Amino acid sequence: MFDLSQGILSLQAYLLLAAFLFCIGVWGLINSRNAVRVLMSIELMLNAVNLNLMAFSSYLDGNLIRGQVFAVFVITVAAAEAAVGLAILLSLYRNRVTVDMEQFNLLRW
Amino acid sequence: MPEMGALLLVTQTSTAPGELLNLALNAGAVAPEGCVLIAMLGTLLVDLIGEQTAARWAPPICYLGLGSALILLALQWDAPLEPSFLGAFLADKLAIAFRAVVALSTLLSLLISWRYAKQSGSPAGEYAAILLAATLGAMLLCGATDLVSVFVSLETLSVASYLLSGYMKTDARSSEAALKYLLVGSAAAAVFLYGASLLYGISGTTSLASIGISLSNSPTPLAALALVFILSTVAFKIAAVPFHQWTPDVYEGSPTPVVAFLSVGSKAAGFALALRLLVGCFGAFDTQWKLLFTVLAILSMTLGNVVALAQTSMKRMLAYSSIGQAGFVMIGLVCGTEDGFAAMVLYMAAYLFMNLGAFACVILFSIRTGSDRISDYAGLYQKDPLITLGLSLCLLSLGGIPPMIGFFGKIYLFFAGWADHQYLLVVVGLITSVISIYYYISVIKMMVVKEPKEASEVVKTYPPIQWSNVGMPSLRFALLGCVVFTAIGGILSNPLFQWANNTVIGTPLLQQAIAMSNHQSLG
Amino acid sequence: MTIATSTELICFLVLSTVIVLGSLGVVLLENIVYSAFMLGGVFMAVAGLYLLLNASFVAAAQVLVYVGAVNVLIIFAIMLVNKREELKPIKGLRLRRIVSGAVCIGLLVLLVRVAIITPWPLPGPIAIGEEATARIGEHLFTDYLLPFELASVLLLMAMIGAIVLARRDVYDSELLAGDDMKEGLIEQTPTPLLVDKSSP
Repeated sequence: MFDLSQGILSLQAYLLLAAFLFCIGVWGLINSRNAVRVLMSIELMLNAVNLNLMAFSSYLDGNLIRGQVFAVFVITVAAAEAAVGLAILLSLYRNRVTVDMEQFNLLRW
Repeated sequence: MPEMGALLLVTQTSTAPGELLNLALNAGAVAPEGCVLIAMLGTLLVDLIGEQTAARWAPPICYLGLGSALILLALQWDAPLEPSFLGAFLADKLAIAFRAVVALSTLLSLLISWRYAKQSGSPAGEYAAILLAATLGAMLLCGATDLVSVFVSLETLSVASYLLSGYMKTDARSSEAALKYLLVGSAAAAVFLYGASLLYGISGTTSLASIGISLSNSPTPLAALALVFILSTVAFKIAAVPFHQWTPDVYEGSPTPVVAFLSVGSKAAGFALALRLLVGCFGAFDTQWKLLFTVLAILSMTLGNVVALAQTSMKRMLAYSSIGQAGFVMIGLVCGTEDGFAAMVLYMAAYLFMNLGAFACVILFSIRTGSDRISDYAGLYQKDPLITLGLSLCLLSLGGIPPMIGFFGKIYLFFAGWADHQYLLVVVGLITSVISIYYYISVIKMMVVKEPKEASEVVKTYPPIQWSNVGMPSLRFALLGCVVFTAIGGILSNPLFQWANNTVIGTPLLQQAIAMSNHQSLG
Repeated sequence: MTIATSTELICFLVLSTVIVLGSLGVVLLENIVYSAFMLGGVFMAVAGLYLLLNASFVAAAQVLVYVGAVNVLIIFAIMLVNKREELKPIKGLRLRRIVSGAVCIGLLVLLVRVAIITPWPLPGPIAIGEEATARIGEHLFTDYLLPFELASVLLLMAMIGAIVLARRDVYDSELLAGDDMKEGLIEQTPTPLLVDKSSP
């Protein structure tokens, strides 16, 4: 396996990629009109966080790899959240027959 | 200071997890949560047998679980303080106090929800199980001392709250509230996680105490960024302006007993989280987060109380009022003195009873009439004196009128703020209190002063009062309990003051922060 | 530059290109089905980066959970709520997109700048490499035991709650005479508690 401390790839490369992914997620969160796409944007943000955690774990905490454990928990919770999100979306779709965020205005947003 | 950080990293990484296997878990600290968990599983099991059995046995199982959790919490009060689960959880007095508030709020919310669930046709067994899971998450959040535990317990609370707010699935407004809550809440969780990952990167550990030490050694711009991320999530959880937009919608759309839990239990857990993270972890950024929280508190008090004036729906008015109330509690957080923290604990305990009492009355009114509009309460005192009296007392207490318990809580908060020279906060708090009294009184005036012929259509066709239906006796019990405590709690407030002060004295985390701020002000 | 480092660099560049283009596709493509498949591609590429970071267990978990469960769930969601709907145009949408884009670029610049100027305590301790899976197991049963147990409660609760919300109730009022339906599945027709009188 490669020796990471000697490698050309630095920690920063991973952090930059994660920051980019996070910002794309934020943009999608604000601008998506389809509720499913909002869910997807949130998954992008969570993946950015995981990338951060894994990079830190590998470069700065290589012995104890607590970041990897944290990432496993994030993956678990994200799956639960996605399942609940789908259930709520289905339940709402039965009542409203739309997924357009702008139409969800029974309650003032 | 890279050398310093590297040194710190070496000292922290000396123990491999394999060697930790021999250490004591000290798992007795989470025995109250164990009771809640057993009650949750019991509720699910009786729910498998059938709808009738669940309706019969779920309530006593829940009462038993939550009651024994409260008793175990009381027994923990004087136990020696030891970190449990190898540093993932700490049952200090602060955690015990906030866990008691959470468990009690669940107990009271359950008492008032059986009739509501029955009438709206929702399955009660799963409802109770999910509410107990939310309680479990909130209670563990109050004592979690590790970023991973904080995250998982926060998400348990949040996911359960999303499910609960969408529980009336035939009502489009409930589903819509749940979807909005889910999307905003998951985004907030992702932002929290980004901040948490930065903290992990700075310190190389997930324990809050170690992160606090490493932040005080090297306060970098990265740490400030992590503070902003984490603070926005905390502000979301306690619904501080400008992170409050979800609150009125979720409160209006969700089933009312769920709102009762969210406005007290979830908020108490949020404040415990704020104390753990900001006081325990960001001690090095004391001035920065206090400044940010001052701004949040002023905005919350002003906007919450002013917008509440214009509301026509009772639930929406209580939602905005709860935003304002959170602003008052933040005064104690900003002070950072012994009195400030004690006032926070005291006010949360008082808020538990007065807010749940108000919600019990609102639920009873909506069960009997199906209405939620403030104008429909006109002339109610002739038809239903109990609701009128209970709601009046609770609203007066929320507004801070003596001799209710809310008055003592609020005066203690303002006193603590004044003693710590937070004059701006206290003045804004006083002015907005007066505004809040105005809209609370206008509801009371609506109920009491109107002539019989001016009564609303809903009140004119008011059904005869019955207490014999399923779930009504428990609702009456909760209502009377809350109202009586709100009314006479003020007279008996001395033991409560003692309790709140003991909480702060017995919590090493808060004592350290107080000592540090004293040191700063002297030097 | 040795073969190992250049291979690593090439892998990283390919995977990060997939992530950048895929994530842009997720938020920008008109057709939501394409977005969902793009999302799957992003998940796979992120798993590849985990392999590059010597984390084979998390990479496997990423593929199994994100691609196998979350992405499939999302595609199911798209199919179940699939109705071609013409989104009504809103005024100021373009302006909103540009402003939020500027905000996001600002955030990106901030994050990038902070990530670069921070003095990371490099190099960290020696990586344990392939023993990572065993180490994760040790963590889960020592210092992360509490969140591990709580995660099981979270999953149980999410499962039950999702079933309760997504289940289609059969109401006694909708039931045709002669249908053989199990009694337990039939629920009472609920009456809405709070009638919204303001809107028709």
